[in-house]
Amino acid sequence: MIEQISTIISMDGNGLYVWSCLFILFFIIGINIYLPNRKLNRIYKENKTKAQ
Amino acid sequence: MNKIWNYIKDWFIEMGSPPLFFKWSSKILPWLLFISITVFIVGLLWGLFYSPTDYKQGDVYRIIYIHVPSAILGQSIFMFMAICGFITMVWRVKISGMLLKSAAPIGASFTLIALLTGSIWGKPTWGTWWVWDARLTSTLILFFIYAAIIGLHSSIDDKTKADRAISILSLVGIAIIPIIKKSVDWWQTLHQPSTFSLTSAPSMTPDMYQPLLLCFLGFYLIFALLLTMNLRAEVVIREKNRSWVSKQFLNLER
Repeated sequence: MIEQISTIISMDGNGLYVWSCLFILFFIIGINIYLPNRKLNRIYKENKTKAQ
Repeated sequence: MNKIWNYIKDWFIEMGSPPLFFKWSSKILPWLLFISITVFIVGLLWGLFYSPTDYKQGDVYRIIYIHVPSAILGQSIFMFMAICGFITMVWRVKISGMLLKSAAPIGASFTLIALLTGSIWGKPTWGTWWVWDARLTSTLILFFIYAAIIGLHSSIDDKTKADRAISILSLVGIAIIPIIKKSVDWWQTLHQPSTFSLTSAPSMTPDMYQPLLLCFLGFYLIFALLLTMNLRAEVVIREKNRSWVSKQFLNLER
């Protein structure tokens, strides 16, 4: 089991290249999900303060 | 057939209205989130773990499942933006300008992913992180055009004028897309020829090609998700002083 996982992680010595690409993909998509939500939250708080 | 066409036409007209779009997107967003993330993850898992190893490149070829969909999506988003730009210029539909503005950071992000993953893929296969090759350079120019669109829009206070300005830039900038596409044919490049062609059969085996197709679908769905989220934020920012925003936000939305 541990051997299988290490084979997947190392990917014949190319693991660092493949995993770093995957990290970049998730990181950039994560930012794209976070930013519009932050904008909406800011407007929501502004509106709430105004309403109060 | 005529009924379906009329329904689609009515739907598009309805979506042109910011409050109706906001209401509709609130309903669709959870579904879109679930479907897009599922297809995206399944496609990546299939490509990264279950597709066979390439006899020449070994496992490093698996970067294809991230790099190629990102690169093609980066270009598709620009074409989508040019269409929105055309609609903004000709019919002055308010929401098309917002769509154009919302799509730009997503397109820039996917182009950046394509550049970075391509660079990482280049190191073990070409022996270098970067070459001033026609495909790489033209893709870098596309990224700069995206950056220019984002910068130009944020530098103009009047949002209607800003929309028109970036519409012109996106219509002029569209010339880069055929250059990127044809760069591997027109110039001697280190980059391999196009992975996809509409006129010839794929050069990959089906067990490598099928997960790639699923990754494409997943990436396009992720784009739809990100665009919906960005557009919702843009609509609310521009219409924040309208009564419907406070109504939907304070009573219905949360």
